[in-house]
Amino acid sequence: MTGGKLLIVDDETDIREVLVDSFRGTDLEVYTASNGEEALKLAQQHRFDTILSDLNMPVMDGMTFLRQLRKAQNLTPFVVLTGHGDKQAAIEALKLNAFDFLEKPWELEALKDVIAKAIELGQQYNQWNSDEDLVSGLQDIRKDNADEAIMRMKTQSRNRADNK
Amino acid sequence: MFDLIAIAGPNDPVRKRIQDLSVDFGYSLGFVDSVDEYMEQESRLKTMFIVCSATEVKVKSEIAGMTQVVRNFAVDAFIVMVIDGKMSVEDAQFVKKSGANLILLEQEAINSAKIDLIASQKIKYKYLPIKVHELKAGAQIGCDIMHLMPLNNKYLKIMHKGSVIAEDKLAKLANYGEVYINKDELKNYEKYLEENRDGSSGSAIARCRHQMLNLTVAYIDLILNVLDQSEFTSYVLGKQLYDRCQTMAGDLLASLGSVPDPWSIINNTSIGDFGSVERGPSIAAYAGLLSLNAKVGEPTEVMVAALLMDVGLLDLEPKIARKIRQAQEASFSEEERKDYQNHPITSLHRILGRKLPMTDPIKEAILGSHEQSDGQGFPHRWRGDKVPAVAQILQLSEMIDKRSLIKMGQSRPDIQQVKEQIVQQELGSKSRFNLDFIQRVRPYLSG
Repeated sequence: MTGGKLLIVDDETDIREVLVDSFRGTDLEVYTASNGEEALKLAQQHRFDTILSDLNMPVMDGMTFLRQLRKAQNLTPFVVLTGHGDKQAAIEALKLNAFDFLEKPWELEALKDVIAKAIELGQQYNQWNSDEDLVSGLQDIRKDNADEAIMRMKTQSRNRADNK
Repeated sequence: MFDLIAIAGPNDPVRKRIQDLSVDFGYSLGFVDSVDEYMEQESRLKTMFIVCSATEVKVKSEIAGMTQVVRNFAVDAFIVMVIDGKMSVEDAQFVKKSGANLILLEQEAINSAKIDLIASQKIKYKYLPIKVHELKAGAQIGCDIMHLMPLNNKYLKIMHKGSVIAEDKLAKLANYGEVYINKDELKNYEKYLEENRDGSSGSAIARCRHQMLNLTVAYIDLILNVLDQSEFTSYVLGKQLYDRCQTMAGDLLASLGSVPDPWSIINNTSIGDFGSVERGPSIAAYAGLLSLNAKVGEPTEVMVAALLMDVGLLDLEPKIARKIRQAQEASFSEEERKDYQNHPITSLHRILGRKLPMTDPIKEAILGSHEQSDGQGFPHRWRGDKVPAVAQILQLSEMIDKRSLIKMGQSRPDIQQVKEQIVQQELGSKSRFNLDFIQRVRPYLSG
């Protein structure tokens, strides 16, 4: 990864710390928030390249946070952290303009991979934010990735069901 | 949008092959079990590359119908139809007329590296790199300009065909170094370069780069023709493509002769993965320079031989091709090594099979392209002067290309240093090359 600003949003301190640790030694600038409301305030003060957020949180949940962000025309790539039972919510988030999802417990390599891709996209959004045409092209790339993520999620569910 | 879509039933071996391919190359893959399912999901499954298995269709004439359905939804896609056995010339022609770009036998699809090359060309190298400094503010660009987002494996359209290049946009692009154009728009880019030529050395370099790209495109067309061994493939077309490559090789060599550092231009313009036939144009360009300056062989013919010497790699099993790509030749089994070492023979068979008009010395050079004068080469373990000088040019050029290739996570090696290393390590007293050959090329590489 070549630089970039990442915002991690989770109400569980342990998870936030593990996530922050995962990016230690990289040149990412990492910020944290414990709920959507806090994160929204940070997103108004900083131009993040990616947001990695849990869905189930007190005060303001991840889905409301995502909606509020998009309402404020903030297109920062949004990666959803999901638990086992959150599949439907994750699909809803992906349809609502999120970039990708990560299922708990995640593998470090998968986490780094998805965040690297999101950061790359986020940096392009920030580079070209005044050019409508390019932003629309970036939205297409985001949507393609979200569609692939939905399909991946469905395949994973089907494989699990087959294995049972 | 997926990079590629496979239309194949759950137990179809083609499905497994395409799945492995997508993992190997990091392509995003969409699967559907049948053409019917494809029709239902087509809007979600847009792509430019489709592999459709028709191996379970016993009535061959029905395959044309399947092809038409897929083509109807995927107007611009490259469609490969995979069949389970020979079909009549008439049926095959009908399938092609129905919209298939290529027909592969199941065995070819599963047990050779052909589909890897096609996927690479239609997905990874669909766009060609150009240098940002070749673009001029205020000039109208005749093709779309794209930016590669390597981690997402996606291209972002930065400028539209016909737009005027704005100064602020160009300034932002400067950090990228390279941007991309669609292979199909290469002619438009050539026109743009011609219209904006200013007689500077920069223009001459841009011209060289452009000719390298032109040769690359012509070469891949020729390779696709060579690997299509079906009866209904035109020999006339093969000859035309061969002639086109020869002409473009000659043009490139002439242009390389007019710039101060042709080695760097080749090194900076080359595309293609390590160990793949896609390296052909770069190896050919190095071979042309060596042939011209060391006075070994007829340079344009040597370049064409360099283009075609490794075409036999496409017949290797995917697992062998994978090991070559990952530079793991040391882990070849005995059988894999034997197959790999036979590839120059396969290359020659392929070329002869397509009746390409090559001279005997060039055929011999291809056959000897991996032989060494110390007897450690393959496939025939020729020794000493038995290895033709032109074959040694091909081998030396491949060595230069391999060592100067940019590797994942590393910066591009300096070509001057690569040449010096080769002179010191490979062109000494104990060498795979013979003495007379060393005396001819060493002064040029040292200079």
